[in-house]
Amino acid sequence: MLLENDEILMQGLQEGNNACLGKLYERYKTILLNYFINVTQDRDAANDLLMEVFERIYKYRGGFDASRKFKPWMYQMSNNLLHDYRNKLSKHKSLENSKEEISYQQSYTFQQIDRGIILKDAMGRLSETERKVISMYYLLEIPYSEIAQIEGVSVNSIRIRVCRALKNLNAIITNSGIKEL
Amino acid sequence: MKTEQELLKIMDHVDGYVMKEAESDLKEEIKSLKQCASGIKDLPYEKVSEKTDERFQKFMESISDTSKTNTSRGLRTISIITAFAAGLALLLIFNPFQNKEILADFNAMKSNPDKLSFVYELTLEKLSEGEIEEVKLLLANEENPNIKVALLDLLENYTPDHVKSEELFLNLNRSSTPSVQMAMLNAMEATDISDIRSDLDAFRNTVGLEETVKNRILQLLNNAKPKNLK
Repeated sequence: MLLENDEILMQGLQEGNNACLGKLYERYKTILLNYFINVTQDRDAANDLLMEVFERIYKYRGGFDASRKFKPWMYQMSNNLLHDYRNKLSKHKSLENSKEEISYQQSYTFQQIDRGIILKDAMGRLSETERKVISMYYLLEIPYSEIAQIEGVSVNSIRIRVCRALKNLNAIITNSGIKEL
Repeated sequence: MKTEQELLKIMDHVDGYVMKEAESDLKEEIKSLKQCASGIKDLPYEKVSEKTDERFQKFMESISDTSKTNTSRGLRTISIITAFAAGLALLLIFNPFQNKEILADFNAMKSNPDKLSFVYELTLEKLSEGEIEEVKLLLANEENPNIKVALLDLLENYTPDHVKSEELFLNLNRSSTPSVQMAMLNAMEATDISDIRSDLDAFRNTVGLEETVKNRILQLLNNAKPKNLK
């Protein structure tokens, strides 16, 4: 099945074919929603952010350079939105502070002994920065070099961040008494 | 506390850059980190809520209203020759008469998010019988649970005419991930399960099967009419 690539759809959108935005939404809605859920740990906020990404894609469609890749542009936009969201939230309550209120030593009930539930719960106990970097790498599968570009740091810094996040995740799971995932 | 160089060395192993065995003091840690990494990759995806889809539809309607008023001015600037050339180019690129090859396109994709996006977009198309068969093949061979669920959601649009309960049951039997099993059972809802009733009942007694999956099977069996009542 021959489907238009992202850049051609963006070109179509720039030329006034709004249906192209619908196709991009179908392509990326689930993966972006899950990225936002992982980072914010808030389903409602994630749905709002998803909407805002596509509103921005439409609003700034003229600024997209069709000779460049669409995905890094969209991910950059998503991260800018996350940044705005965090700033808005920090006025009320810091995400990092709320994280500290949660104990790292939680034990799981028998019903929770499910790989996915344990991991999701453990991810919720990481810092927002850690959640973001491992979600970008493992969920969105963005290469290290592109994450480094988005975050404005070196590739090695990103790899170290991913390593630290994985180590913390592993520590949370181990402390909870689960021997292996 | 490990130095940054040590962390990078660990990541070389976790990322698979280094194939040789790690030093013994790092072995266990690398194994655990690899498990965490693969666990994150396989985390079940949450679906976008209907409410958000509706919000997006409303947004699409609002922008189509705005663009209608702007198009007449834009159209005047495009000459007939340019439009013809563009049309010809589009026809060459997206030739609607060429053979569609879902399998080849899917397999050419490198990352799981790309594969998922591809499957999601197929939901906007009307698939031919041949294409549905290709999707079934993808389902049988796919390892990633999220892609499997997306493929099942796609196939659900073609039940009961093109997807039979027997085919779904074969896949159910091969799957051990609860989210995939639930998606299989959901897809079975619209099919005639009278021929696989006993198989489903036997499957319900599989050791280690999640309670939610067991309950869903029971619900399916209770809702379906016995064969002689058809």
